Amino acid sequence: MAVAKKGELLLDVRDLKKYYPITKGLFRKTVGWVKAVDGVSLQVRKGETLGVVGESGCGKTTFGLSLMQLIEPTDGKILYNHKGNWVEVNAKTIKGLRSEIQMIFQDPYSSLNPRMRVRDIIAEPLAANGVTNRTERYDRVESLLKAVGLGSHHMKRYPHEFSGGQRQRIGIARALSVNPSLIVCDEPVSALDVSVQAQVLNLLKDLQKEFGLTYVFVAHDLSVVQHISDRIAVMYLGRVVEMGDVEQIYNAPKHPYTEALLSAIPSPNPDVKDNKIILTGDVPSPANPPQGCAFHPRCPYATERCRTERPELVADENGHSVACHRAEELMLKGVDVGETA
Amino acid sequence: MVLKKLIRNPISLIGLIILLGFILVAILAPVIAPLPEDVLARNPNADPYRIPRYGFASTPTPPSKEHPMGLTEGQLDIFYGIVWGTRTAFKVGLTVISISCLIGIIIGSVSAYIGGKFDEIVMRFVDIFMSFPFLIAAIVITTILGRGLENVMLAMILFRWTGYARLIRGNVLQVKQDEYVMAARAAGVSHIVILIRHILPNTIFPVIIQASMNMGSIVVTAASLSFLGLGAPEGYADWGQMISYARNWILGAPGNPLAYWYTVVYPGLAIILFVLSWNLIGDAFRDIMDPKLQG
Ligand SMILES: Nc1ncnc2c1ncn2[C@@H]1O[C@H](COP(=O)(O)OP(=O)(O)O)[C@@H](O)[C@H]1O
Ligand code: SF4
Ligand SMILES: [Mg+2]
Repeated sequence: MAVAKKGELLLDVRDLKKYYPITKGLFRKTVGWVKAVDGVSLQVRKGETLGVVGESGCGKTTFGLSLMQLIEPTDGKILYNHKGNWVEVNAKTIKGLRSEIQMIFQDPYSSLNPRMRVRDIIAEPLAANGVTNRTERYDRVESLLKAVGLGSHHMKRYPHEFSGGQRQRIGIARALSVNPSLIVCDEPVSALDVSVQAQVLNLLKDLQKEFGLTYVFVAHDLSVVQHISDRIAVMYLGRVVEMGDVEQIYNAPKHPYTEALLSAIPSPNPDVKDNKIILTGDVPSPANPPQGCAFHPRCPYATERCRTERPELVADENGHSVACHRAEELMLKGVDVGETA
Repeated sequence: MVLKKLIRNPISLIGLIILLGFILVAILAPVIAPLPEDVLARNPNADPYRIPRYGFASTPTPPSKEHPMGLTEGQLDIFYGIVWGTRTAFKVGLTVISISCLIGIIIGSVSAYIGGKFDEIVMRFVDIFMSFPFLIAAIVITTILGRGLENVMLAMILFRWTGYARLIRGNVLQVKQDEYVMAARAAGVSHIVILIRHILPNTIFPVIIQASMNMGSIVVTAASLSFLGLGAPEGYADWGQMISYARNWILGAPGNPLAYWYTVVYPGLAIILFVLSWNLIGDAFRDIMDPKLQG
């Protein structure tokens, strides 16, 4: 699965931060910050899928939107390998990179303008990126519709005439329209019926092969990303707490949070005893994260040191990184890759 | 398609028929109520909005063959005033609505789209406008600028746009969170195009419905300002003005309270029907414009 392991880097994110101000009163005085993304560094290789996983509210969407410059990052650098040249992605350069980096959104009901026809929705990125000839755009839309499993008879329809899965296919066609290299998929199947999820995931896999796409694939649990990802980054409260190849993460997790997420994957084998590690308590507020290791209030292995000192993300010789004081001593329970469906 | 649905709904059909009647009257005014020949003989360029006068007696004259709705005090032809007053009503209503709507939509949607502190400041500005008592403001404006329909319209525009600005702002604040707006930005669509292509089509209809419902109330406001003597000049074909001529005769004569009924009933009826037609249509619009109900 980790075929792309030695591949060329496409995206290099360095210490990315996005803090939202908390404002109060008539004059919107800033009284604090929501540290939605708090120092994320990671790399993505050409042609691979990086799964970004974490509970709701941990900053995955904010991370994805920052990559696209749809929100302005507070700090950090995003470097993109544009045909061999490294360019910094920022408010100025993003214009020229729109046809390189695209996004698939979470909610297929809110991501399509209800008053636009399907062909105009899909053609919009083309029109905005220099394809001025309408016939040319619509020709491309036709082939895109086929590529995502819809047909040219859908061209003139409106979004409300489609099911959730079909709408997501339209969203995928829109992202593909400008021939991007990198697609940020923000929980593209989480709003869909379970039966439809697999179809859309398979479509994304096929498209990746066909067009040589690179994915940053966001999900809120580890079951969805298992079969599509080459590598996984686990996020907690705006930070990456563990990152590695799929085998490393699933078979030999090093972070207690990853272990808990793995135990939550439903097992297809009913005889296997459910060893769910129930995470107690809610995710703490990113406006007021706990001292020390942000996971310590919910961690079954927490010690005194965890409450005061923040663990840094450290990589081992195999490129498996983890941010936990007790990573070396703990023997955490993984799952067999392939055991779960 | 919208029209088809308006016609199928009996309530809005009534509204539509009344409105159509008013439109016909306004268009055909020179045919229905031409200026009398002696007026034209004296001055071929006579202003048709000046209601012709048939004497100077101060007591109104009841309806007759020549004057089907009678004459007001000062002997102005009521029928003529109502027919040409229809034009005035449309002129005032459409001008005030379209300009104040346009201002409100631009200010409200841009403010909400930009958001943040900018939006906060704009909305405080709107609050200030809204806190003025309109009637006093209108009196002040017409005192400064002088009596006249134009100044009344200006006063109404100045104080009407805020309602539309607020209405569309609320809608835009909601819609701009929708992922299709994000998607358009991800596609590289410019802000102005996003506003026009994505945000306005999904926020503008409630404002248009509100505006069509307000057509009636604007004409009523204009009429009351004319009634107060702030609006149209003496003798101008304007429904409010016509009612103000009835002011002294509403109670009738001693022993006969209905003696001068025609001075108030005809202009009053015109105003009521006009307001009613717009409200009926506005109600029906509301149902039709829901995108989920569109085929
Ligand atoms: N526009 C915003 N303003 C303020 N806080 C925000 C905004 N968007 C997201 N947040 C906060 O940032 C945190 C991360 O949100 P998000 O990136 O949407 O998480 P996820 O996608 O992982 O569920 C949450 O606490 C959320 O409330
Ligand atoms: S550092 Fe401590 S609290 Fe944090 S995950 Fe490791 S053991 Fe748990
Ligand atoms: Mg999210």
